[in-house]
Amino acid sequence: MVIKELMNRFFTVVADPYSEAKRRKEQGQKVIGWLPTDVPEELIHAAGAFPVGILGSSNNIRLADTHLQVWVCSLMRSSLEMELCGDLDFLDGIIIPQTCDTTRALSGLWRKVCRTPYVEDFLLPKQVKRPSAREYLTGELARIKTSLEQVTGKKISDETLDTSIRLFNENRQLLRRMFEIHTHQPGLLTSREVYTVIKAAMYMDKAEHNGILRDLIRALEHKAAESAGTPDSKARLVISGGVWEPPEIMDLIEEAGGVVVGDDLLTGMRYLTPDVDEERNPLEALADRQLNKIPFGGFDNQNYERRRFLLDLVRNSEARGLIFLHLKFCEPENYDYNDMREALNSAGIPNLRLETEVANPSLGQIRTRLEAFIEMIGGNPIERTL
Amino acid sequence: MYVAGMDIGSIFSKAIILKDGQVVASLIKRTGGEIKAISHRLMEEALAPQGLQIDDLKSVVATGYGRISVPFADKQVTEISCFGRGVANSFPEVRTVIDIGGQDSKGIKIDERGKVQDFVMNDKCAAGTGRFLEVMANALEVSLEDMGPLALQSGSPEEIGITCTVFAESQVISLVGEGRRKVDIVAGIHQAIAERIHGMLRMLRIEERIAITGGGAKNIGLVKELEKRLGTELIVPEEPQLIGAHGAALLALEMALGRKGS
Repeated sequence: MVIKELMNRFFTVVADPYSEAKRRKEQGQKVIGWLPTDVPEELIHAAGAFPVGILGSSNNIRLADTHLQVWVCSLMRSSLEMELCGDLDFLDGIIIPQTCDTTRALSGLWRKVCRTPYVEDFLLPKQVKRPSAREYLTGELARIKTSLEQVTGKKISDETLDTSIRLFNENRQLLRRMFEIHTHQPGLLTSREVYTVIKAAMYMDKAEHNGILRDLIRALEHKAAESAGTPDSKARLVISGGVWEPPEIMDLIEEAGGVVVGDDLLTGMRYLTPDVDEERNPLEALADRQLNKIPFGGFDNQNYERRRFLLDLVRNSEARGLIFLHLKFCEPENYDYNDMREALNSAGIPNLRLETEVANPSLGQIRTRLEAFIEMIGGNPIERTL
Repeated sequence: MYVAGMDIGSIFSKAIILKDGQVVASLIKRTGGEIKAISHRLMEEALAPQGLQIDDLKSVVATGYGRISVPFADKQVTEISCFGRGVANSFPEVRTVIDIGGQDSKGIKIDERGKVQDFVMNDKCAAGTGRFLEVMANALEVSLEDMGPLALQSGSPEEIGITCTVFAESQVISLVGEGRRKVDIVAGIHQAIAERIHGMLRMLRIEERIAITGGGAKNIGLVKELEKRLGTELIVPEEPQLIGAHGAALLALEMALGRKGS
């Protein structure tokens, strides 16, 4: 019961993601949004502003199609739509990370057609293995820091940045702890609940999120001790791709008899790993966090190739298969796909690709694919009641 | 002991009754309207000649896109698993199944027991499916049954793009307007569908032998075009539309006998 009540708070946030941002705005705090992925929220926080994720919405896309072609990914079309509809009028600014061709083009477009007063770019190095990458990235973070100082009128000292880093590290550690409990005993929380907690972190005040999350972990640990040894018959799955869209897919996976025990999603593990080194110069430490992030279609990791990463992820999480969750027209993911599928096939790991869109779920066929995949790899579906 | 399999497809619904493992009745009817009611009617009609009622069935497995709406089913299994099981029962030598249904086309890799090893399925798009053929047949005022044989009569098929059913339809109408021969247009349509399906199959490591099932298998023009591209003769079951329902019935039999369903 306690777990349910705590979860309700997170579900409420995700259903109405910007109520906290709007409240902050009314109190006179600056609100700076970010588009996925990898924007260093710590800098926004240290500048005294409220960072908030812009992750598209389930509303139909109409106005954005005047500016973006339909072959642009729906995550970015939907995020632009939100602004054009007036849903993001509370924003004092936005930071757009240039992770792909679309986000690069969107940065200029946002300045031209949107009302957001302050638009900043985060120009990420693609060649993360080059020694120059860290130096460049540290400089880029320093540039964004100065830019944020100008817009908020607040100087960011090393001490305030360190404090923000500790707060965000704690959030990541707590989220990882929750995830760890989930992978050991997948029945305690549903996959949808786990990722709702993670998504809520992108909209909430981190201190508040940490507080509720600490209570949730305590309740989960208590329940885990009570029900230890319960056999788990669900098919353990790893999800690879961008974002959980549409979120109903998580329910379909569970209904078909699967459970998610690992991922490399932007709204999953990529958000919670790794921590920022608290002992070092904060900008250099933030740069290192970026360079050591797990691989995805947009960037490789310094010392981890994505193919090997996925194979290890499946093995370490004792998963029976992997599902690629690709946003339609996500070029980085689409270019990676054949290579990844081949690596998994050679290793004998069953895999399935689902192509989805934000705001346009076509769940019938997705359900059939998921069910067939789980029938193939084995798993006990939940009895469906008519 | 009687068991049954039901395959509720987007265009046709099918039922098969097994008595002690042997097919004693089968029925194919158009889907349309409310699935709960249709599944009842279809099953009762299939059972009537045996003097049986739904309650006499030891076990029922439902498949197809409407599987979740069959009220008397004991279990729902996807058509992918059912087609695998159904094909392997008659053709254990088959390793790849091409299923061309009303709204889906699929490629399914199976082992000798019909267990699915891998599969691909068309995206949410009618191009490359039975629906595409139906739309084109309507545009050309040709009956669906005549499309295949007509395609075989052409010596110089028209080039038809198949990015989208709606665009392809207007292209076909333009070709008719230009006075192109109907047989060449029909042949072009078949080439385009075969190209689309072949492209999808390339995602699998296709292994022989290959069977074709679903309503699309009844179209000789499509079968020939696919054979050309795959470089091998396809196995066409006598009743290709019933394979899914048969697979479902076999899974129902396993359930009734207390064996674990696949």
